[in-house]
Amino acid sequence: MKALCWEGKHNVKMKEVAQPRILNPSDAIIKVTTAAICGSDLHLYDGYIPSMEKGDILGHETMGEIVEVGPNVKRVKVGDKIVIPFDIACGHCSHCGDEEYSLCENTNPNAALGDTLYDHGGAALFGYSHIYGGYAGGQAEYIRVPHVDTNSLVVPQGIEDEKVLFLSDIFPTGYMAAVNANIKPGDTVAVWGCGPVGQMVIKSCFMLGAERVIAIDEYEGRLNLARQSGAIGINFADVEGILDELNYLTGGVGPDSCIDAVGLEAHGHTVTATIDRVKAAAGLATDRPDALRQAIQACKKGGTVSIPGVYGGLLDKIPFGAAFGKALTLKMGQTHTQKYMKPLLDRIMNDEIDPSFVITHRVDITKGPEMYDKFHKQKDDVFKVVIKM
Amino acid sequence: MAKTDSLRESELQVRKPIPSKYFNEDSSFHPASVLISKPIEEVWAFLRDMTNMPKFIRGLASVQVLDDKRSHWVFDHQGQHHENDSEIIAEEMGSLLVWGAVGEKNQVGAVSLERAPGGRGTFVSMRTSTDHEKGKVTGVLAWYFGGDPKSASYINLRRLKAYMETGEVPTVEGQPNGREQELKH
Ligand SMILES: NC(=O)c1ccc[n+]([C@@H]2O[C@H](COP(=O)([O-])OP(=O)(O)OC[C@H]3O[C@@H](n4cnc5c(N)ncnc54)[C@H](O)[C@@H]3O)[C@@H](O)[C@H]2O)c1
Ligand SMILES: [Zn+2]
Ligand SMILES: [Zn+2]
Repeated sequence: MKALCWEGKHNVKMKEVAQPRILNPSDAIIKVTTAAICGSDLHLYDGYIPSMEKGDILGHETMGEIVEVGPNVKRVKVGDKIVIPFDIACGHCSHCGDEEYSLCENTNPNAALGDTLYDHGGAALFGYSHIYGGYAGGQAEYIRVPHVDTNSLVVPQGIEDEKVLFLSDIFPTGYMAAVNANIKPGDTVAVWGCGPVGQMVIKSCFMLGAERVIAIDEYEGRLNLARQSGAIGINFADVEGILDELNYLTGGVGPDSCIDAVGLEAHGHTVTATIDRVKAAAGLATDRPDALRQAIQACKKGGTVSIPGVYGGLLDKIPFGAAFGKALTLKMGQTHTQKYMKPLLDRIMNDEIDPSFVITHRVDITKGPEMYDKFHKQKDDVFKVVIKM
Repeated sequence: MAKTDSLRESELQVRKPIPSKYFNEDSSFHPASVLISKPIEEVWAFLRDMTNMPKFIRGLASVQVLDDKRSHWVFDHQGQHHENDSEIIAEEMGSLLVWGAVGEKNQVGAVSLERAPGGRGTFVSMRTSTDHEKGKVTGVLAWYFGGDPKSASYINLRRLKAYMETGEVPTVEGQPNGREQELKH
């Protein structure tokens, strides 16, 4: 089958590889119909995530049709059309029992490695390095899904792929970020980052009752999309100081909630190859948390800072005194995608949202390597790429 | 195993230290430990049945029980093969199990169990020994009695936990990748 493989920094190739097969009794094999390239994939492309190996199959935003199931699969069946969450959960451990799927304990074959890096490592992820389990991703014609009863959302036959594809990652991610922000009716929320995740955050904030959303980025194309969703867009390259701007807009009070949808893998993530280096580097910064610093500084007293943006290491100069002094609540983490897929599908079916508004490019898999290059170089034009198999 | 008397139950609520006398080195560190969301009775019964060991110990292909104490272990991993007889050296029902390769005093494994508070399952600790005579362990046995025994124990404990909680051990061995064609040449 055809698959997009990571071959090294700034090097993705389409390769002919073997078809996946059932390896465990709760697995299923899915014939992929549509997959997307995510902002998180860029961090792999740019070589910032350690423990990638040449030839690893990329992709974690995937949907398709079940063509084979293992003997322990009970809930789904061959022929079902499913969206696959990017994080892999077992459905049985105590965290899965609490619907904290991204904290699952039983899906990462390299759990000991994850524990070394993060003290208590979380769930495995599709197509996202060997620290996260080394699972082959979904930018391919077929994908193997472990514990498919837990890691799938069956969608109605006949629905357009593009309308439901982002239930795999960015829509639940944006929604959970808004839930974590503790929004009350009438609130003002500030959102750093207007990438696909930020766009889903903005829509979700309004769904949950925010009255005013202030969106911050430096790309006008991205800010304009945010404005179309009803947000006030601020280009941080055009203003004197973002904190000054936010103080002015909120009468000196500060936003009730601040959401960091930037993360810093893209910038200062210098966790290069080795795990022990991270442990050894105590006291050294690994990430560049500008947006996070601002979010903490801007936030109203007693407010909430919600962090869907990914952080990977030891952060420098975080204004923790301000967070303490203002009695802030901080919430963060990988998305518990499985928890939100079904209720968000209902919102799509009720026409409350069509997440496909972020798509700018539709290609077939042969164009995959070229799109990675464009996505990396032209942030303002290439926003969200979907691959039709 | 039935809950018998209160003394017995209180014994299950303390994890016995794995006695150092079974190992050829002293360690001031705690052994590798996990919490398994299953009752201690179930975890004990699973571990006491040696035929279950291959379900979670990496590189262990099969175990054949010879009698109540002895069993025959076959390791097969990455092209390497090793066989030996193993026997149970010490056993305290529900809380401590020590086993070792017959005639090879440096190959010992031990687990100790404790009923976790709050009805959350069972704490399981595991310790395995290194083979000092060979300097470092290589090949098949490295996976089990590994060069770094605490890591090897932890890996096997996580596999035990996954198997007991989900019925399978997570794996990516045998999945496709873009390396295969190149390796064939
Ligand atoms: N928590 C999760 O489970 C989860 C899931 C998916 C993605 N993510 C993460 O969310 C983040 C955003 O994802 P994306 O796909 O939208 O990425 P993206 O790279 O497309 O978007 C990030 C945006 O942030 C903007 N930005 C950079 N620095 C900024 C600053 N100082 N202030 C304001 N804006 C700034 C960039 O211009 C860009 O538009 C990434 O870190 C990604 O890895 C997390
Ligand atoms: Zn993603
Ligand atoms: Zn789980």
